[in-house]
Amino acid sequence: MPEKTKTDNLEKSTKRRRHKREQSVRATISNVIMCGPITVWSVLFILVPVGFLVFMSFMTKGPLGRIVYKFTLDNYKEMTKPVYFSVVSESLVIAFWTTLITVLMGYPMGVAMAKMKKKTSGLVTIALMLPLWVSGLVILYSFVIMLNTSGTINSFLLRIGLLSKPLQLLYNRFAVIIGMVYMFLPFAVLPMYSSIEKLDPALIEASKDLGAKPVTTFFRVQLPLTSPGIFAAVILTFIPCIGYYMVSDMLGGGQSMLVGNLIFRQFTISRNWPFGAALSVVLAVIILVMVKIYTKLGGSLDDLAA
Amino acid sequence: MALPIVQMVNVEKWYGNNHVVKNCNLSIEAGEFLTLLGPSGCGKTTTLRMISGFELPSSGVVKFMNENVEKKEPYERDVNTVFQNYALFPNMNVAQNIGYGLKVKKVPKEEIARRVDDMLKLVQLEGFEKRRINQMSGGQKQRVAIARALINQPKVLLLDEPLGALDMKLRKQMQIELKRLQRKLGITFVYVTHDQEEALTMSDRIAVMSEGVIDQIGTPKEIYLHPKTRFVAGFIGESNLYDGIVREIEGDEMVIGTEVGVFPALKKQLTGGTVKVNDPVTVCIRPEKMKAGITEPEGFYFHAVMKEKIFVGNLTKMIAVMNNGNEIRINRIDEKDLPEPGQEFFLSWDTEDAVVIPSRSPIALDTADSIEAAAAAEQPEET
Amino acid sequence: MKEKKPEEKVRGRGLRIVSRIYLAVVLILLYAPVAVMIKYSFNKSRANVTWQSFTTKWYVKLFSDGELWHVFLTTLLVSVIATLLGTVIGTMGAVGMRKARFPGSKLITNSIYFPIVIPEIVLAVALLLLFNLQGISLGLPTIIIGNTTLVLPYVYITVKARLVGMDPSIEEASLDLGADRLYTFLHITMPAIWPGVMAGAFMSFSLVLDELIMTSFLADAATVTLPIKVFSMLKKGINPEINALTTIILLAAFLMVVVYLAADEMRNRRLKKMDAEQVRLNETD
Repeated sequence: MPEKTKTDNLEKSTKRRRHKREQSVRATISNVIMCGPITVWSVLFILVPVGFLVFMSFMTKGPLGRIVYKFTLDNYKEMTKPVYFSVVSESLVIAFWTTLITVLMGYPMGVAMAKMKKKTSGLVTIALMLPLWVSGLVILYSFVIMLNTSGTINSFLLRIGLLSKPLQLLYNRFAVIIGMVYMFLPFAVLPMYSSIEKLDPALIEASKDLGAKPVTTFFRVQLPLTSPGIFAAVILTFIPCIGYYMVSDMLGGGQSMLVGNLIFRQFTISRNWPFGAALSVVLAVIILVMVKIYTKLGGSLDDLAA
Repeated sequence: MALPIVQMVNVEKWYGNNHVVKNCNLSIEAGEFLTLLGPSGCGKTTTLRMISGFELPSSGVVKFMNENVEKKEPYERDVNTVFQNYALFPNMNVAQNIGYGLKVKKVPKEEIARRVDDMLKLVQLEGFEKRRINQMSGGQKQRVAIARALINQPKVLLLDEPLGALDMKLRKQMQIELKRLQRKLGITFVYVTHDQEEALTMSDRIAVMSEGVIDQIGTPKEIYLHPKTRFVAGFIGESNLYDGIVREIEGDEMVIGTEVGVFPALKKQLTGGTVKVNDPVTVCIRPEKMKAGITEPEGFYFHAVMKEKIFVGNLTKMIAVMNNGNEIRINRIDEKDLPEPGQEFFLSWDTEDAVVIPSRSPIALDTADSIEAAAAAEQPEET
Repeated sequence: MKEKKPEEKVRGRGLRIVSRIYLAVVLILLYAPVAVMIKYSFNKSRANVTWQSFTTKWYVKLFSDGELWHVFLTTLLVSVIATLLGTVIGTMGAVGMRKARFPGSKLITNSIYFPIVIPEIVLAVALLLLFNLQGISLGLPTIIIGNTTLVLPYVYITVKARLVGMDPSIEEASLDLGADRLYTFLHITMPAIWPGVMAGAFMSFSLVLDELIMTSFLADAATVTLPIKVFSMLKKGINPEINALTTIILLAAFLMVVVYLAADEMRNRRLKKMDAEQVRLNETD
């Protein structure tokens, strides 16, 4: 027994000294050089600003858009008013439909791409992204041309006699959703495509071999296995959708006020920064909760920039 | 004695709360082929990495030619490494890979080309210089990795399980080739493996590690014939191991009580320290030293029943059961006069062949009980 | 089973054809607005909502429109600098943060993802507050900072993905062979992660080029980028000149893609040929 206590003591004394050297001085210096810039940048331009944002959301609005540095919860209470509540619910409704349509449209595209040769699917990817690389905004404006009462679609339908008078296609929720789907579809297809492409065909074969109908195979095997890609697509659509005020400005014509528009307004016309900050905080929290669910379900944040 | 080329003195390594290398003392002589042998996770690779400089010891000193190399970066140390998965640069061809070490040192182009040629000849890869890495087979990659590490003419070459990814046949061939290279170049090789056969084939000396501790350092013969710990005895080669205690010591002889029974042993066969009466020990008897006789032998013996007999080509492996249920492994080259399965026979061995290893820790209680029980039940029969 | 197989095959092929037709239809739908955009760059009407008649005058006008060129150059400047900064910082960070374990390193690696997981407008507001409360006046530098922050995670993630696929022991092998850390980074790590760096840079550039939210929060009145200019025109209708400019940019992007693909194809062919020759040489040995 005494021998054992002796080794115990020895272990303890070495334990105390164990952090003496982990790596050489030069290795440390090189780490500092590599990690320094991103660390400083993240602290200065992500963490600190978010801190300011939270801070501002508890401040009081003074006259003429000034900020009074006095703690208040009014900005958050303000949000429960029906007028703002309807903005939030409208945003969520639009984001929901946009996401649903985008995923439903995008998934079969992913399936089609997964069945192609690598080279062909690469070309399709480029074709998908090319219009948006340049200027989504200008191209989005084409919808104004196409959807207005004397626009391409209406005049076509009038000419073939399907309509007697033009339809109001523009400046409503429908137009906003179309615009949003247009903007986010290409981004949503890619993660779904990559998860479908990674799917082991042997699993599908196995399911078929075990006598499952194609529908069963799809819902019980393919869909669960490609769900990370679908989740990534949902996140990639839903998040920007809520903050993207330009689409509703352009195609909603002020009919459709979204959270993004509301926040933007607090920093321009209304000049109510604390309220704008509080809205941003709430928006961020909602999204972060969603993202947390996404990662809890096994999603990786790295898939969001695939 | 010449100065050791690499020395590790009281080296400890912690990863967080994990004590991976414990009080390591190791002297590597110039020109020897030393193998660090042990199961995965025993700290052998960490030990190697402390020599190459990728890890720093938490405490203790690593010396090259008696000089402390704590402050020397991997790229300043006079050692080169052959990595487990080759670690060839995928963006370079074979010649560029091999010449990398010289290019870094800004050696003139013509000299690099000449020395790369020499290396290609050495590892028998002439004509492959323009090949890309992903076009090479495992064995060829291995040769490139060796050539790349040797071109810097290191004093010590470290090899981290370099043959792990190769198939059996290629492995045997490379073992012989590595040994040939080492003899030809006279460079010190420090070789890490978990394969005891590989270690026994190539090494001048073997350091057996388990759980961060070097259990024993010695020539393959010493390690095999005189294992100093129960772990070494069990890890290298096959063995029959019996825990027991020393019952009597008289002159050159001892009497050991074990779970299988009480039998005599020789003091000169005691490894790894001294013992007193009642000290715990482990007795190791190699299967090829076990005797299975149909006729009653001289000296002591036990009764056993043959259970299985397996012919594996160069020898016959047998498993027998003693009266108290203990299994015994017996290996024999000739098949003459062997009991058949189901047959009772006389089990014995020469006292010369039983190695007695003092136990490091006190014997477990239940083992002690079974020793008592065995001693009461079966006394060896003397003629 | 035996009878089922051909049928199965036909169904598989049928699915493939149907899915391809579907994909083609969606692509056509996606390009319809692009076609409209290009068509209206030749529209005579300034209001640019209804088609009047064909003209190329907007293209002519575009080249003499000093203001628009200025806007375009500003956009390019912001894009190039933010891309460079984001790529350098993001690449170094991805390489460095792999092994870094310093107090708070977890917080930092998590915060890098912030700009992609929270809506852009939130970060824009947060940065606006930072600059405002610190008395930093808005302008080109603040736009560049905002856009760099926005693209940082994209570079970080694409480079990280390459690093995951890289065998870390090749870096150790380089150190082992006598190269210091800088040499190793430049000659071993960089070539291995280069496609990720390029993908990240490319993504960043295209993002910033079209960036509106961040820029409109962080720009002063004097600094106008193309998206801001376009957005401000919305109420009156977009000037066909913008359509003309966008058409030209689109064409340039298209040509760049074609050139890139052609170069890639040629490189692959050359490599294949070289390999074949080498194999033949070795076999004749």
